[in-house]
Amino acid sequence: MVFNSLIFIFCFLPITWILTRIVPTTFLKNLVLFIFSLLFYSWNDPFYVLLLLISIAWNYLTGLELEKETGKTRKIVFWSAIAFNLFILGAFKYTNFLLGIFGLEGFDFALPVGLSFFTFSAISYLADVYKNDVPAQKNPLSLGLYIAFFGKISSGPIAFYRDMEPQFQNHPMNFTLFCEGLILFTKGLIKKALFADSFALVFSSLATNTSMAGAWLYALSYMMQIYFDFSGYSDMAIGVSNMFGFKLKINFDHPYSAKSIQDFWRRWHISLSTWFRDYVYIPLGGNRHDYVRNILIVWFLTGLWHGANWTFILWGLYYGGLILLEKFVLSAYLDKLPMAIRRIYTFVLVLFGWVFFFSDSILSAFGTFGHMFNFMNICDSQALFVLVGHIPLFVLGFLLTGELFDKVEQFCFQKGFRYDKIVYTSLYLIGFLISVAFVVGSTYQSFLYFAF
Amino acid sequence: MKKSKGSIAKMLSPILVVVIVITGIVNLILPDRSTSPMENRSLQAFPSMNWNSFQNGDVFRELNSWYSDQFLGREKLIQLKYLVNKMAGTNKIDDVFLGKGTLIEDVSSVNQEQKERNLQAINAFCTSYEIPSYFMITPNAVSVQSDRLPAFSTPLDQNQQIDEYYDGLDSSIQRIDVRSTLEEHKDEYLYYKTDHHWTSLGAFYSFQAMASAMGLGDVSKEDYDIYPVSDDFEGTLAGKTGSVFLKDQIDIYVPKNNSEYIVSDLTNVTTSRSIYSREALDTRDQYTVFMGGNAGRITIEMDNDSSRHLLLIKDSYANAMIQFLIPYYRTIDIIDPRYYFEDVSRLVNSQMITDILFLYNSNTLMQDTSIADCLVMPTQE
Repeated sequence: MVFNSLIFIFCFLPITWILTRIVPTTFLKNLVLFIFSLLFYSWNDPFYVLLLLISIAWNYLTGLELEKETGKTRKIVFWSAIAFNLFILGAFKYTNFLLGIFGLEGFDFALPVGLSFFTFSAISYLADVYKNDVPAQKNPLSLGLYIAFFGKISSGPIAFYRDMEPQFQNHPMNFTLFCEGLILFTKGLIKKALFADSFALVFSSLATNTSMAGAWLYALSYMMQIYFDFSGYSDMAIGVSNMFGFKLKINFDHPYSAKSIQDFWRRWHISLSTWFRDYVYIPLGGNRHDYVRNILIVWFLTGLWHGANWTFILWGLYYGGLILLEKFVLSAYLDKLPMAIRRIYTFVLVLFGWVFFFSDSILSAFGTFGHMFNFMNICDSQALFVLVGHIPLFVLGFLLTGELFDKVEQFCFQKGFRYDKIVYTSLYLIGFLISVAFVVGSTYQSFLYFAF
Repeated sequence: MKKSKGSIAKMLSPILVVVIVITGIVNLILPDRSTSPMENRSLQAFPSMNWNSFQNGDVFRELNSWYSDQFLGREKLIQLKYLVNKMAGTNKIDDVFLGKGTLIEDVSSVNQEQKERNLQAINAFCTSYEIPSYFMITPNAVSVQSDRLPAFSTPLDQNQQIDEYYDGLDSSIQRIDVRSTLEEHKDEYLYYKTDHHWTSLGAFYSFQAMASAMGLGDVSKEDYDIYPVSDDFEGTLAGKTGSVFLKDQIDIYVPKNNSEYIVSDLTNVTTSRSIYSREALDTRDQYTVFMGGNAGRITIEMDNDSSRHLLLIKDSYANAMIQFLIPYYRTIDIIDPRYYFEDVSRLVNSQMITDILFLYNSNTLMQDTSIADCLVMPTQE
């Protein structure tokens, strides 16, 4: 199931919430949440619920084992458990890619939803226990909920075990947190249904355009689409978690206003960068030894995590290279530049990054770059047609990705004009209504001839 | 600031909760609908639960569609989406341009392989008889009224598509090219604003050109009683986009010198004394007022002295043209290849056909997949 579906918003969410609310103890609340999480997950592909249960059982038992064992055995248990998690991830996600490298035919199976996310959650648990940061979870239900909770299983954020652990004993569903959650959910829904899906249409309509303006719009619309899609989904996930009394850290913090590439990665998909920092970069030695190697490994893996394709690997290494470049060469100059220039510098480099990311092959990525700098064909009427039809979308989208919107909001609240509450409440309500209209519209298919 | 934002959350949340819960409950209570006239399709019913459908995930997919298909105020919400899009300057929804005061269907691409098969079959069919054959390809609003398209629109070149089709026809088939005629009148009400068909007026101008090509004499508007039969028609393009506020008027043109006639629908075995269907005006697709929509074969027999018998092979554009043809023929046999599966050549002989007319609109013709199979006689295969 996805958050931006009618059945989730109007059926699954309220029913789950009411049931969780009326059962008396935390244990029962967690049980209800766990069962509904399995239902939520089976909505995508019932068969893979088994895989999820195997993963939970394996990691639960490993956790107990890690607490019992000492010394070398402990090390072996830990690494074999990690290997098992990575094996499942690799088998589903990278088999076809590897076979493809050797020119072999791949298998036809769907990638289990959220596999990359819940595998990383599980590794976070094992690592935290192994480092003795937290005790192993004795209660299988708590661990099951940590891995499978529907609020975050399909697209993150990758919650860290050490942050979540205390919450399983106690996640009071209080009114203030609920309200914050619902408003965040609404915000995320608006981002996804209104903006991401509209930008997706722009993106697909420009796929064959070869003019310079068209190619820039094409890349820009993807840049907007992926931000609104991913950060919207994260907002909804955090909002849903809040409604059930869980607190998760923010996952996106105005990444397109970043002042440098380094800064961008502190603001984009924060939970993933933190995960790589804590569980790969620092264990490798961080910046104390082999800094360049560590950076390249981390960014190679970051790229690979996003998908099984050379384009993603190149995309990851592109960022690794840029971060090294900033560290050793650019930082001295960047600091002296005016803020606006630094933001434009980051924005454009991130835009180029997305071209690798969305292309099917490295060749087609360079094809798009070719069009972006094709001064022989500056603009054509198709590009103009798409631009003219979406000016408000681009303007609003641009404003909402930046900090301007938040600053205006902050200004209004501090000055406090008379009807601010009513105005904001109605804005959100209208936004919700229009989003629902857009979700309904996405299921709309009208036929010229009778299609019964 | 934080405090103020929190208080907004506290004001907004209860309202949202009420909206969500009430909508959720009403959704479950409201009876399901089986069809959607606006979308022209059947809606998903509550899925049947069994182990098999659960295992392969069908149940969940069907539950999703069921819930969204039966959602409260579905059509109103779709119209709201259209309004928001319209206000945001959207100039195209799927393959429909949001033009100046009108909706215009984009040009179809050409199904090249099928086109070659169709042309071969048409040429073979027409050259196997010593009967005059005519072929009329009607251009669509998108090329005739291209000045009403949104700025910078770049539809495919329909004129070129039509030229190439005409070029593929055998030289014995007479082409009736109405493009320049319609071009002259392009500022008039030739096409419905909310539907992909042409109006009776568009058909009338084309008929003038056709009449001179087929030797039917001069015709003028005075030869007809013109009755407006509807002013609230919302057609297929309105359905596709969810448009609101746009409505069309349907006129019918009844020849003043009409004789009595009988319309027999041989597919559905019904007869009628009128080519117009009054009941159609109570449905969403009011264009079916002409001929009651498309049928495999319809025969019209006139009580007149004409010695000509017409075979009309056509798509739905022709439905608005038939009203003009009636006075000139003793019988008209109308075949829609999409729904006709019998031997057309036998019909040519038994009905003593004297003229063969193909009438298609360009968009349908370029995508057609049924002409060849309909015309190729079983013996030839």
